Amino acid sequence: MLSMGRVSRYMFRRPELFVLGVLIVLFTGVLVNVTVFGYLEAVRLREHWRERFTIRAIFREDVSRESMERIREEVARHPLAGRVALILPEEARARFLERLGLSGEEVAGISFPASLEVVPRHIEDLPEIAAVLRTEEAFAEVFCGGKEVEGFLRLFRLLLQALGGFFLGVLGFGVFAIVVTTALVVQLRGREVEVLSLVGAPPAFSLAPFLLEGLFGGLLGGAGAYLLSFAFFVPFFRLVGEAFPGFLWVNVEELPMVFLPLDLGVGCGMGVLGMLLGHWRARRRRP
Amino acid sequence: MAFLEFRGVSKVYPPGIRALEKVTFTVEKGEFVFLQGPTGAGKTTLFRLITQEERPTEGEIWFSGRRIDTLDPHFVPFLRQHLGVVFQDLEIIPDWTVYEHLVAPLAVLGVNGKEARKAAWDVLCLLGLEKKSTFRARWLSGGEKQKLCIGRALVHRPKLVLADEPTGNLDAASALEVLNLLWNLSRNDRVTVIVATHNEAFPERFPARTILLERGRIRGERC
Repeated sequence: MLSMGRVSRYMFRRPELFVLGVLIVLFTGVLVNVTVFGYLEAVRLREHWRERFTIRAIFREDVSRESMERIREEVARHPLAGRVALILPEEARARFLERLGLSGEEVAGISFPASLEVVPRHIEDLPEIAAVLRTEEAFAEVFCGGKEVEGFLRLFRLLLQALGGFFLGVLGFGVFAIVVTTALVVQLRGREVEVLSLVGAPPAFSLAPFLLEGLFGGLLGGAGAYLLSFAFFVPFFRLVGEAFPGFLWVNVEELPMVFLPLDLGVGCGMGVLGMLLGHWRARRRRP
Repeated sequence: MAFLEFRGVSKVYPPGIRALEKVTFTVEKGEFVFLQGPTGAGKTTLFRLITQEERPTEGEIWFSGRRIDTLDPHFVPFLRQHLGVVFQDLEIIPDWTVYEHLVAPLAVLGVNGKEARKAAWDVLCLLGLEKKSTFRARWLSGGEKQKLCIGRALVHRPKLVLADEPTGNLDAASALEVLNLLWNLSRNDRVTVIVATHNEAFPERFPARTILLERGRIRGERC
């Protein structure tokens, strides 16, 4: 209770630090939310297209069944390969007939070679696995999606690069925010920490109200970031989803479930860390 | 053993400024002592060594039977809880009220509620600040701030009071009043008081021991 009393005293008499801290946390929270949204979108795209873009390697006619099995096992052991399936001529024929709705007589005389169907662990590894398969002499031909895949992969890599850059930006801003908060704590509240230290307050005593203030400010900033992101993302992406119905978007209705703990966690973490560092520096300035 | 003892204490600040040199003296429990010397004599440094804001370059400092110059930093707050310090630069927070300043040392000691209010009120009455208990420190005059700093040093009934130029911002009458207050505290409650001053007139008005400090060395004592 005493600490809470001291917290309110500090916060409301000199609110500059508190307001600035809340705004910094809020801004960082919004940036984190945008990054997380980008990451979820990338994961969703990757999973969706991974199933669609498979590699099909056609075996030469003279390759024996045992060799096919051996090659399948070797490919399955490759770290980039996800699902690897051997499609025998009978199965290939049955699939073909089923897909085109034809009867067996209509394709009499056409040969259906055995093939290896490879789904990569990650969609961006598709060309690399295809290159490995092309070095295998047992294959007559290796198909890997053509221009559509190349275009998609270029887009996906661009997304990943942008996301990486954004993530670095968020990290940089987070560090900047903590440094600024720390400097502000020392500037605005350092005197209080010093005086408490001079009258014999142990570090825990002088730290307690500042820590609570940091926690409270972090929670408020985190909640603000959550509400702001929620207010922006839901209507905006609902609109975008309606405008581009074919494109895959993360289900924005599920985003708040991710954002709420994330924003509160980031907010509290930043608030507490900023105050801890600030308090430490203030005590070190006058031991 | 003396209540406070300095044994050959020196303090050298980088790059070789000698603030104190081989200072040796003792102060008994309940004694009232003036530490007199001109500006730059080392009075504040001596106090900072007692409060452990600084560590001596050499020598030993003993307080209440314990050596404090080698005290673990974790125990320094507990040492300070036994001290009442009137700082030369006051060390008050402009946004805190007079009352909040007075209860801060009590809160540190875990004294809260009615007991803390009574102790703070007694000191407010003693210093004539009772009508200004809700005033923020920034609204006080220089003299009132000085009184507030003195009140904060006394409110928790410390074993040793260190007053660094406690009359610096006061007029002659108020200065004498404050010194009388510290003198009575020492006489009646057996609190040890050390008053640092550059004013030569004050020590002559009180039958107290005076330690003369000059350029970091003790030049003599006067009773």
